[in-house]
Amino acid sequence: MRYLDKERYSEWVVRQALYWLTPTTRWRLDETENQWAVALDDDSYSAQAELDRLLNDFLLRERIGRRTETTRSAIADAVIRSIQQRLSES
Amino acid sequence: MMLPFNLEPLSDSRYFISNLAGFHRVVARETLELLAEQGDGVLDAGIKQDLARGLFLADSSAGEEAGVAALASGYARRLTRDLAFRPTFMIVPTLRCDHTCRYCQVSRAALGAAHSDYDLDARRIPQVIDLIARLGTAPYKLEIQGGEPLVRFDLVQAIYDEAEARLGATDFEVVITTSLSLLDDTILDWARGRRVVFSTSVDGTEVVHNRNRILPGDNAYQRVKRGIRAIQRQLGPDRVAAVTTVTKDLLAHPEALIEASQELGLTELFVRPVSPYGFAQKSGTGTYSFDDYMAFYDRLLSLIIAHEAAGGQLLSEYSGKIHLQRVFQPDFNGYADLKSPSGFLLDCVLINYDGKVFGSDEARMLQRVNPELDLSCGTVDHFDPAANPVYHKILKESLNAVHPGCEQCAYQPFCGTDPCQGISEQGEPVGDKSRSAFCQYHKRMFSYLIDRYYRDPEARSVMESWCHA
Ligand code: SF4
Ligand code: SF4
Repeated sequence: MRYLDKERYSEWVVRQALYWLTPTTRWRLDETENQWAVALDDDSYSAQAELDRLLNDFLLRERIGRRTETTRSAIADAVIRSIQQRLSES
Repeated sequence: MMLPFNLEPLSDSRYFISNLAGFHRVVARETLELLAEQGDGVLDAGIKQDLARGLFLADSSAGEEAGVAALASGYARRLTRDLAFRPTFMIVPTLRCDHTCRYCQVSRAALGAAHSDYDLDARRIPQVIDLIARLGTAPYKLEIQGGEPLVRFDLVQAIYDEAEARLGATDFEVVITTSLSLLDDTILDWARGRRVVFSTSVDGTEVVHNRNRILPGDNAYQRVKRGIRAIQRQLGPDRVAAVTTVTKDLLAHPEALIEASQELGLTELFVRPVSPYGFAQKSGTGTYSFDDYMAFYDRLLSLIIAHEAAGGQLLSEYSGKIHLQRVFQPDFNGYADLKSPSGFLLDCVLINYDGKVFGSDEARMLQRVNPELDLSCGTVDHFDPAANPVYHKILKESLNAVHPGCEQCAYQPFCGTDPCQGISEQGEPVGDKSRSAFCQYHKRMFSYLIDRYYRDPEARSVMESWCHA
């Protein structure tokens, strides 16, 4: 069983990492008040290393994503306007 | 000011990053850490300028709004380009075939099966070409598929004649997908003055090829070899191309493929893993992992590089080439699998021997193994994709940018979706990407090729010549 601090790992990060861990091993996610409890069917070193790699990458994605959150929705609106314009021109 | 982007790790401590407009860069982890921690203010001026050029940072002079507008317009441009309806029209004159390949992807009918059950009714050909004329625009791309289409060469001729009369003599091109076992002088003479090219299969050297591509009572490899040579000699080298299905037998011997291409005078390889459709799964020949496949691909690429370094002619590999073109050539969208919205129906209209019409070759294969489903979009005389709710669902969900899993993937601007594979594996078109064979294959291909491109100068130069050939 791996315990991950909720303060460090958001639910998004843990769920994203586990989603991509599926081809490596089956897993189960539980939680206590302060921690995520991750049980891996394949508890080998390589499966654990893959989980660490994924957690690490999704933490980075989350931190970068936070800095660009507002821009993302501004882009979605602008894309729709731009496509409408292109389609009306063609 | 940072603009949104996605990232994927490469084999060293670097990351591939891309944005919605389809721009990409390879950056060190430290750069991303700095960006995440302190924003772009602390970056080296050169890196900052380069990232701004790729729309990863908003240019400080133009401001965030301009960055958002540029990204949005780049994305809209990609979407509208991939949305164009420019299909290849595939026609299946017969499902009958003289081969009994172990991994047959399309399923086949026995050569002696009743014509009325497995051949296109010749009286339908005007309707077929009429549908093509109504749906397409010149230059039309026609692909004759099988079974083995040359079993009914008379139908192939009739399709060509009708196309010539209805579409215009120079406004179309026909690709005949064939094992070449039935190629003879009559067919060669007929093809000589016509806009016809042949696409065939070569699965390795004689031993490997014949182990999988079985021609009862005959030698499949010798037949294809004779056919390729005859086309090259009599029609020209650019009138025949070969596709390779990588079977377990070939996996350990990529050099067999180089040998075979040398022997056959082919300069372009097109290798693909065994398809998850049709009967491939049942025969057990498709049982290898994607890691095995990528190890094969890695050795193949190294052999191609060594071959060229030793003064041999440059060999290109088409699967690698299309992945690279998607990343490096923003306007390339010539491959139905790597498009979003998916190429389903937009890139392919398949007219089956029984008059049914499908939105992709995969849809007809899936239909054949799941007769209880209806995956057709009508018939030649009544083409109506709107009438089948499956088409509505597939087309509605064909944009990978909103697929769970793809949303955060840095390969998403260059990748696509395969709704039929999703239905086949997981019962629905989007599916769980972490378990999808489509995703596993394309993700590995993108990361392998990009990684090697940025890490190995020799590989890079070979890859660049593939893209510019
Ligand atoms: S030649 Fe093609 S259609 Fe015929 S059995 Fe082989 S894979 Fe199937
Ligand atoms: S299918 Fe896989 S590789 Fe392709 S965009 Fe989606 S997550 Fe990325």
